[in-house]
Amino acid sequence: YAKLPHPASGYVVVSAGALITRQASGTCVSARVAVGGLGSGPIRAIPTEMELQGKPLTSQVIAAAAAKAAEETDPDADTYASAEYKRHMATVYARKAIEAAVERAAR
Amino acid sequence: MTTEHTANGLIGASPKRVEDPPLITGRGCYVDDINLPGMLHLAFQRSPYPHAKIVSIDVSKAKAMPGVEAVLTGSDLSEKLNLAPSQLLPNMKIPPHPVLARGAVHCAGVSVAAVVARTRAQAQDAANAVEVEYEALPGVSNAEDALKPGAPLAREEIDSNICYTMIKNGGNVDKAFAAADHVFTMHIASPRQVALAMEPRGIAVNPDAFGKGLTVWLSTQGPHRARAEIANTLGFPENRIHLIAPDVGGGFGSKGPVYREDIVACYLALKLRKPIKWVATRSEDFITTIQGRDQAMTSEMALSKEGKILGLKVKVVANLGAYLHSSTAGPPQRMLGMACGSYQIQDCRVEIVAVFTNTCPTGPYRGAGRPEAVLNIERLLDKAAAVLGMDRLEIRRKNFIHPDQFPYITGTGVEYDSGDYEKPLREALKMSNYEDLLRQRDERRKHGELVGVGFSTFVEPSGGAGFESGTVRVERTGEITVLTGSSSHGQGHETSWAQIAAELMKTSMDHVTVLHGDTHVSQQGTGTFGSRSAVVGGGALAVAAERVIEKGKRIAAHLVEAAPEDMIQSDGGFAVKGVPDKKISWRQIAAAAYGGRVPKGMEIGLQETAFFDPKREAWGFGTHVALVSIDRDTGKLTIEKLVLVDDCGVVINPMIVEGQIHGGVAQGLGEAQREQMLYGDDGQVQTGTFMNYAIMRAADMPPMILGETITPNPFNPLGVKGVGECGTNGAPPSVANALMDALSPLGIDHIDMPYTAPKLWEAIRKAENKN
Repeated sequence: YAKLPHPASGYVVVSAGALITRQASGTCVSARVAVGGLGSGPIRAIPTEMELQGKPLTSQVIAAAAAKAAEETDPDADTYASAEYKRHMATVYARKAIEAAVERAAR
Repeated sequence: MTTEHTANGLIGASPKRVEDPPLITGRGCYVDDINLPGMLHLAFQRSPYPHAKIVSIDVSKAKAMPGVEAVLTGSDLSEKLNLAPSQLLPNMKIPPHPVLARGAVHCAGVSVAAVVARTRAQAQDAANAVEVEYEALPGVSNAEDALKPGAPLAREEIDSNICYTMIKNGGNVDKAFAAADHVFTMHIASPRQVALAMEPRGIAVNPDAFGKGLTVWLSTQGPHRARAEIANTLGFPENRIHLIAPDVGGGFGSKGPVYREDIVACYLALKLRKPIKWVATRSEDFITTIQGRDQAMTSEMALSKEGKILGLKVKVVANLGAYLHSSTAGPPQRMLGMACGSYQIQDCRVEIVAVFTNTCPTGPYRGAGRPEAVLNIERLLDKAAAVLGMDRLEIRRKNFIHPDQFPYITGTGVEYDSGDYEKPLREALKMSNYEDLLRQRDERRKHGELVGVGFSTFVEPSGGAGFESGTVRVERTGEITVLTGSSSHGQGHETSWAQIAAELMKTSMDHVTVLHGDTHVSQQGTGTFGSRSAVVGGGALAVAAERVIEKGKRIAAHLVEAAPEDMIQSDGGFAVKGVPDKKISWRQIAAAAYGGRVPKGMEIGLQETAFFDPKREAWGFGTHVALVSIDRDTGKLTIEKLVLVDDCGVVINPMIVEGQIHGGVAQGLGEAQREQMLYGDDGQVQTGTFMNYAIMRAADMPPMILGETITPNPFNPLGVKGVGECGTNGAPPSVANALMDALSPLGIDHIDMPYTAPKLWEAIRKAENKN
């Protein structure tokens, strides 16, 4: 789980959670990725999950998959962040969460 | 920080602050700690609308609620019960500032009804039960928008949104521009800030039995000024108001003026003949206490190809908010005065348009016009360097006012008393390892990093706003009491003034007690704001001390049967020159003074009062250097290095000075990185709590490297200048210049503060898409 906190409240601007199962060879068996802050609740990032499923979990693959984490989302802008910033940061934090999960899975 | 400049003694030492033990152990006494028998509590209903007519108010439900003793609305009060600006400018429009709304409200949070009840909760419940019918009116929150044709009128009582205009012409600016090789324009905005003293505002009032006198405890920066403002507003004799500033938890300028709630509390206390207390909740304080900055500057600078600044034009649009407090009109004038910064610019035109909008009133907030001025001129200098392809240091050095030119009168007609701008600049470049910073920056840029180095070379006025007073009393027992007109609200005057007195009178701080903040205790004073206390309050103390020393010397001489000219000061008193064991202590002198054993013709007693007015401001100066980087992916700004070199003249207590700089930098970096009070277009409050107005916490602060140079103030007995505001004046522009340096490879010209991550990310993305 990785979170971008609001500088004032500390609450989530965007966040991401990842649950990755991998084979010893480094191939992704299953991926569950969710992003928060883009809607009224957490959203499963299905396009991201599909990009990881069955693929070798290299940093390029993870980056390409994370880049889809905000697809088809339509967050509200607020006094801190625009909708584009939130969607972009969701992909940044999706990548962080996936990479952390992969690293832990590899231990 | 070093103390090499002091030969011996306490000026220049860093004893722990004497005021701290009670404050940090919860034994302080703030306004909210004042509790009197039978004390009633005051609460308000406040307008949720930024601009509305009041159609009707029904207080019947509120009046019937438990514990309620009175309910008051604007129509119950005389039309004359208004707050007013302290300074009347030509052509100034002064729409009313009633203490409870009369007929209309002009910003969110305006008090519409007041309730007094036995408990605060009862008062607030009843205040909430007052039924107010509003008719919303169009509003405007942005000052530049308020000047556009067709903009809503913020104050419908007057025919435009302009409160006042002011223009200062120096030399012949049109001629200078006509002769220029280069002219460029910049628009720079200084974001609105919330002062956020740790202690919200509050007042407690105790009327005497017959309503002929008032005791007021007020969280204020200036007890005498506040007393005068309350007396004038109420039409109550000033000398019958005993005003006390108890422990005050910060002010930063926002606790200078008197507020509506203060007048309502005094009025009701007199009417009901009962003690009353009101303390703001944080939410109330947030949106009703004067806010700072919110000035937008459009500037043009004319340059010669050799790098000389030939002329400067600045138009300042200043957002005053909806109402005028006593000091609201001040900060834009400070901006005007300082528009030329540290540079020789004689041909200039600086113009202020001060504007009403449907937002909280603004006023002095740590810096009070200085930060806007420094930000503006220092950004202009960096841009000028870019236009000319010149080094940013070189262009400043080419245009600095030289030490032999002081006192120097700027193009805006302001006199800088002294200065040596090269000194802190050299020191800051050395301490920051400037050349190496540039090398690091260039190296990291090769790897695609966004890294920048920037600095600001600034001047800082202090010690203004008239006189201050000081009394030095040697008590009957020989102990020393200082009564100061300065009003410490976090500055540590009880410590610093004890250091001054102890050093001047050659005794230890343990023998000195400093009293402040009470109109019954001290002589008439002015108060603490604008970084004035060391210069003016310290100055008054020094003058009073010198008089006591002179009288003490004569009494001492009388006691040892020597001539006064043969007496010298020694540890704890005086001694005969050349005969060190023929000495007399302050205790012995005091016993003689009050016991009548004084020279023939001399009045008994040992106390002197001084009213000190330097009649000119003390201009400190400094250089701040910053190294910053920006994460391309997130837009996050990191301040990697911050070097702050300040020249505040002789330093009284280095630890306290460091504290002042740290605190000012925390607020300055807040402005630079994250703090902005936002309103909707019509004046609706958008960032009214800590949930969305982000201040710096200790963990957010970068490491600060502090340095000093010391150029004693030639016009002050102690050689001191102020330092309280240099953090807010110099740090944000150094970060702004470093940030723009970091973004220069992307061709970005200027971005306004605060530099939040989303804002920077957008700017970078936009620039990258263009390229």
